[in-house]
Amino acid sequence: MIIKNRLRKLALVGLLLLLVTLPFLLNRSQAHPAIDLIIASGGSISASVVENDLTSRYFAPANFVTTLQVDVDYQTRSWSVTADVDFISGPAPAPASALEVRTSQTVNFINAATPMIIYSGTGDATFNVDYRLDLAQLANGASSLVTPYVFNIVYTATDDGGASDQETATVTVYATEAVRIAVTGNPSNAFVTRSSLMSRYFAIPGTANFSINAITNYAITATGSLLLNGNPASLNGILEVASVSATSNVGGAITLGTFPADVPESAPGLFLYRETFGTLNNAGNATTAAVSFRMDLDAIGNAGSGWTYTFTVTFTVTEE
Amino acid sequence: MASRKIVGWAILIANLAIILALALLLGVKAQDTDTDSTDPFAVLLANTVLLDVVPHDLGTRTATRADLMYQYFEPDEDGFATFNINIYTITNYEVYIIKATTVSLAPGGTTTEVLLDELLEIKTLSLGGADDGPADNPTLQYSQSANWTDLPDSINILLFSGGNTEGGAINYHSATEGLRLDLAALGNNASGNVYSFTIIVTVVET
Repeated sequence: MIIKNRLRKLALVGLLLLLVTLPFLLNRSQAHPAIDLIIASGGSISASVVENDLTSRYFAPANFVTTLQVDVDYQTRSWSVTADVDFISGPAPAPASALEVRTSQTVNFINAATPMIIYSGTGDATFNVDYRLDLAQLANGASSLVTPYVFNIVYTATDDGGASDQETATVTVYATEAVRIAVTGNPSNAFVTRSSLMSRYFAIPGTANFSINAITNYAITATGSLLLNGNPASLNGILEVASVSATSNVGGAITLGTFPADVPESAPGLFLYRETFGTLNNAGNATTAAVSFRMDLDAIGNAGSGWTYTFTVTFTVTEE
Repeated sequence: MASRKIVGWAILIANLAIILALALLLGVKAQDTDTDSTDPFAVLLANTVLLDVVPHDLGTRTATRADLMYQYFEPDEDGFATFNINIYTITNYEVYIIKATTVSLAPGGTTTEVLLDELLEIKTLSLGGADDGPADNPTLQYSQSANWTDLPDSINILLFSGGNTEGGAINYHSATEGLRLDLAALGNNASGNVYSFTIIVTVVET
């Protein structure tokens, strides 16, 4: 009798357990993923933008790739995978369109700020997704080792039977270096002749040219040094910046300093101009400038004919 | 003993919290910079002095009977003609002067015992500069011939010298020179003889 009762209780408990778990079991069998999206590699990618990367509009290091694997239960069903890029965080807001994606089927990099189909097929498949970051869209991003730009890419695989699966990859970019300057042209060597003496200022022919690559607001300053007949000498107001001409980035705005002005020998240097890097619609991140110089003959004191004044000017770009 | 330890730890944690708060307050932020330089570019001072005589044409004068009452042919105290020596300089300099004389004889005329080196006299009437000349540059130095001096044909004479100070001076100086004729040096002449002078001024870097 006791055993019978115990058996009855056990049966009751078993029935209860079955009743409780049945919906889950049924549900599982019904929603079994007929399609399974797997991130095989590259689920979390990290890279740093350094000076030389700034010369190209697009940043696409070798490790900017995620490998996706699609496993299906129904080999005859066709399926497609969409990508949806989201900007998560960064030194400054960046549009989701800044991170572009590409597969062998899209051929070109595409903007997936809204979900875009990037791959479709039938049966099991494995494919790569490449990324590139459009630096021109970073606006005024500060250089930072601490606060990176973070993008999530949500991948959704859906088959024509309505089954779907979702995975998220993360791309993290540290803007380690945000400004770059490269001098591309120098003023010419010149002679002060008799006719030059009739003016206080001797215009040095040619210009110093440089290009700036930046993903941030910046300011340009100049310092100089003098060799008089090969020996270091004080500039003492001899070299002046006569004028500065700078082309603005698309959407940026340039504020020029006041010229003419003496080129100083030491920091912080003569302020030439600053540029607010501007909008999110920049077409590129390179600007150029030309600086012309003049020599103040009044400042050279008692010189001798045959003397040579040799100037070197150093330009500094500083993130603002 | 244990309480001391706790107090010690509390102070340490409080200090760290203060440092962290200050760092956040001061906005510790990396500021990226990059620099690049031009190649050296040179300016060679091929010349350091320039001189202009203004005007070139000092005109023609005629000595008449009334002028013979005086030793010097000088219609006014500045002589019979004046001209400017304009100098652009970025160095110390000296100005030398010499003349060349030609004589056109009147028909049947002669000339003897003429002292060519004493015939024409010169005096520096004033020295100055254009804007920002010596007035703005009191340390600028001149030496000059402030008295009437013979202007010879045979040798350059030092007329005046100037300095460009180390601190720099606007590089334009100007001198006004007067000319007069010493009739006593004319010797034996015929009326109608014409004396033509060409004055050559040289500035030399020193």
